[in-house]
Amino acid sequence: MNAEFNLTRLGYFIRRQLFLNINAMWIAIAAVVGVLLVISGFTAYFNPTKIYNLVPLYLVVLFVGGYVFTSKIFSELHSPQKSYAFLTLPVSTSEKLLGAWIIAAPLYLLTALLGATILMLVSALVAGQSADLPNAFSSMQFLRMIGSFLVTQTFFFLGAVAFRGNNFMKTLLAMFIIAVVLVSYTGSLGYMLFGGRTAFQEGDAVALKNNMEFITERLVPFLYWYVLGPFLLVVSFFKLKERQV
Amino acid sequence: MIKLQDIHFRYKKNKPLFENLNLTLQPGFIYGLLGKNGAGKSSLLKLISGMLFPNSGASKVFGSDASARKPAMLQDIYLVPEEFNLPAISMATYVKTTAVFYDKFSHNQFNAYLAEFELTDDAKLSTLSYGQKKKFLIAFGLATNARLLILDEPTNGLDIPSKSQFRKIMASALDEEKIIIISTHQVRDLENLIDTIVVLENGKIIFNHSIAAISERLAFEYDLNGLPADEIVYAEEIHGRKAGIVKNIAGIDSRVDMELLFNGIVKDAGKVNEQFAAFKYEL
Repeated sequence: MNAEFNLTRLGYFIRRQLFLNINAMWIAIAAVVGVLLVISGFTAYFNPTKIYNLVPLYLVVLFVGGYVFTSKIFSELHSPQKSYAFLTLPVSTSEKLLGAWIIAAPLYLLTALLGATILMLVSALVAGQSADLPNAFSSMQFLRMIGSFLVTQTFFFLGAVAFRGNNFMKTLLAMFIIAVVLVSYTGSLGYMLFGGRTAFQEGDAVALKNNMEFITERLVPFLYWYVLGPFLLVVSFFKLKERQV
Repeated sequence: MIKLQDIHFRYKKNKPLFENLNLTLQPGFIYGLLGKNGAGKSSLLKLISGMLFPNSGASKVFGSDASARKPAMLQDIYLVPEEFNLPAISMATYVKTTAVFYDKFSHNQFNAYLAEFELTDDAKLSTLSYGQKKKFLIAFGLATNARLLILDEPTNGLDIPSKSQFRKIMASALDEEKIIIISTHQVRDLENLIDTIVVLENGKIIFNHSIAAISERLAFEYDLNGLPADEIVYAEEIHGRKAGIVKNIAGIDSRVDMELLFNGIVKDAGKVNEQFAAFKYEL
């Protein structure tokens, strides 16, 4: 059990985290499912032909709930009276990080999707449209949304490690500031380059179009789907490793 | 062995707490870490356990860098902090989920300590009193068989019978491989328990001697009348009498009064340390 990474120890760590937070999790799950059940029941009863409009609602709840849940995944670290137990637990940083991510991403997604499926099933049964149920969650668009959740969730995962308290709100604020800075920078750059149009000649438009196509259709999607998530997880690892009481 | 070497440490935006701090702790001893409020006791314990990182210097615990927080090293450290918040689960669940990380955890020992502290493992941790929670953590920490046990103010919140249970358990728990560090303000609670006294003042170790050396070099008198002034190391008024620390000229070992000693060290560490001039110690 003394190696830097040990699967048994990782399993024990996940079990510990679940046991320690199980009460809060059950309360949150019961509250969210209760509210969604009421909304789904009303929709299915009063508007039986439009129950598939519930899917976007479930996705919004899944996304927001997931971000909030992820933001609280390292809450033990932010309380001086609890952080000692987390920091001195004989589990390596990589195991702590991976264990927390497994709970906040795949495990959360499975639980949330299972809950959404059950809610959808109940709604479909009430509306008498159970035969079409599988179509609701199997579209390509739906899978891309789930993929998007896994990517964007890593922002909140980093925020959960980096900030001390109010992690969800601080992460939102940080994302807003980053977005403003990026937009201001690119806007200023664009204005400086093309604002006066003095250096803009024939042929430039084609080159610019090609460049922009390459950036928006190839580079940005590649960075978004394959680089952003792992990069933020690596940054989270170092933040966790450097974390002190 | 624990070795702190040339430790420099400061909290952000504050003046340095430790500058060039050196300390070596050997296995087989119980160390009493004493100091006034704000002297740096808790920070020192956090540096040893890897919860704080020094700005420079090295904190080595059994040869491992404490700030690396490797699982192998963390298995050999158990810290009972002064202030803590335990989860709202039963003792049995806590043990089930946490003991698995400690290879040397002994359930038999844990149950024996619980019995000694008059606790039962079906109780929910959040319903226990502060003192009971502390006893639970001490029992758990001892049962991990970690080679380094750090107790920050362990007797705070313990009632009088529990304090004697604590002393009894601690005395029996020590073996030649273990290092136990007890940090406290309540020096009387540690009498007859600790082997070495380390006193911290303003981030500096101003005293570090074994009880054996202290009782060989110093004597504690409760009526200094008639004693020559050059024999008195430290004096204070207690109940209208002059009590204090004197040179142990007779060479007969006597009981060490921790409170008097601590007061004497805080008042004039240099004068107390002069009595140990022939001893090798780290400051």
